[in-house]
Amino acid sequence: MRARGAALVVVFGTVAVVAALAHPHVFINNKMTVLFDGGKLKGMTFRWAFDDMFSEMILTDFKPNVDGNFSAKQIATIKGGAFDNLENYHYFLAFFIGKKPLRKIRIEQFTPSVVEGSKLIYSFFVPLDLPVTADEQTVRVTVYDDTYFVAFDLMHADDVVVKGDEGVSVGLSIEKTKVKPLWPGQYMPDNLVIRFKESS
Amino acid sequence: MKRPALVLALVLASSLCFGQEVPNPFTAQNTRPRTGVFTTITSGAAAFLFSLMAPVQKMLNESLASMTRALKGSRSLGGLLLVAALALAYGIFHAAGPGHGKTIVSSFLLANEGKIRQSFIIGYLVAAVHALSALTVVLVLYYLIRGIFATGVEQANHYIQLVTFAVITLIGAVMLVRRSMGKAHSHAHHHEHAGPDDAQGPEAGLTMKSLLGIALPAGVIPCPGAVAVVLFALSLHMLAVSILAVSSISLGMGTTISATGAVVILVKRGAIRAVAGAHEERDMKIRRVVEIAGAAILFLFGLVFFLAQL
Repeated sequence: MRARGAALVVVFGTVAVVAALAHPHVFINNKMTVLFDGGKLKGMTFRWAFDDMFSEMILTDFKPNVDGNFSAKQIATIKGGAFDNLENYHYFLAFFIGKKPLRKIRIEQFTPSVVEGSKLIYSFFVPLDLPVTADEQTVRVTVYDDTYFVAFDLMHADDVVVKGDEGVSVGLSIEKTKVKPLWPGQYMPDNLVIRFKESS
Repeated sequence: MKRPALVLALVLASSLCFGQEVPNPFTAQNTRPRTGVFTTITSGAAAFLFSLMAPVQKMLNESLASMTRALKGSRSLGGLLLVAALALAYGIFHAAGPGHGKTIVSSFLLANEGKIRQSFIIGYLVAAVHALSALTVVLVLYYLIRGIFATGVEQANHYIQLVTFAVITLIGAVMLVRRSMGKAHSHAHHHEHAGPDDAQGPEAGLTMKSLLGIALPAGVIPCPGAVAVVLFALSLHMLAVSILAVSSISLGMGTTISATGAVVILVKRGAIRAVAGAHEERDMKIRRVVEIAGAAILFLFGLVFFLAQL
């Protein structure tokens, strides 16, 4: 009996080792801007800076102008060829407005560009249009790829900027996600938590 | 006595289903990987270490890129060695993630009586084919076809995978039929055979031909990591460096795949011995269950991924 138990332990151990190391192929540094305007939380801008190798892959196909920008035609092709499919991944974004998950994520102003000669940047705006009220509201957002193909850098407080918040009191914090893990030890990336209300 | 054997087979089966390669979410066209129970378990086990490993891999990726770039100016021996070393580490880590290569190799080694030494032959063969195929695909797309590169890679991948998984399904089916009809080899683990084990007959372990037969389809899907590295070096007009890097990556991946294969063989042996003890008959039975399970995994794995490519 003991031998059998030992065998099972060995098997489970192997399982853990074999499964343990996932391999990301794309690395992204994510920066966010929270935009208020006209008494509303208008939405958030995301700026994804890619690693050199993924950048090169895209830049092999599309050469930007000298100023690092792409033509409208190139933008459309890049969007179709190397961005739109992310809809199937919910754009790696999980939004919670209060307790309600945002089921459909809309993307506006998708803009690829190149900085420092070789670093590819994607930036885009996710409209939220939440009226600022006297009661405090909370928006939580997490950025991660559950297929582990893409690795996002961990969130830091200085990755977030707030704009247009005159007359609004905004509190930002980075917290562990509130979503219940599906299994013990599940990797849950941090949440950006935005609390906002009319400033008195 | 059947129950523990079945449990064992199931556990082994589920551990092997971990190997699932996911498409590039950016350049894939209107797909996302199917998530099921197995992927959920996978990510469960993988998730925690992923959070620890991702920064290391990012560091490797970044230093490989910047070192390659630095080599452009001066081609020093030290720089070349550094690129080779980084690429080796990159390969070791890269192959450690879930991938079809390890799944195919592992289920093949479950279904057959392989030797540790052979797991190394098969591991390095798979890795060599995997990297060579990446190099070929990139060179052909880059110099000959010159279309949209990312789309080209996706398309090439599609056709290669279609053929590969058809072949894998076929190999799995043949093995499954043979094992279930009892045409299995008589196991020879107690009494070592004299002579080279790639001599002839299944009792003598696996033949070189059968090792090649599985290593080719297991490796021929171009390694996405190697594709990225080769393309990066090529864009800097450094063909020789890209070949150096891809060889080192292949060596690193081979090390990981071989080690996985060796662990599978050891676990299979240890588990059979632990469950069967000295009972010759029981040993035969359990061995048969494990081998049928291995063949079944190979067959199902091939079939699922073949159908997914249609």
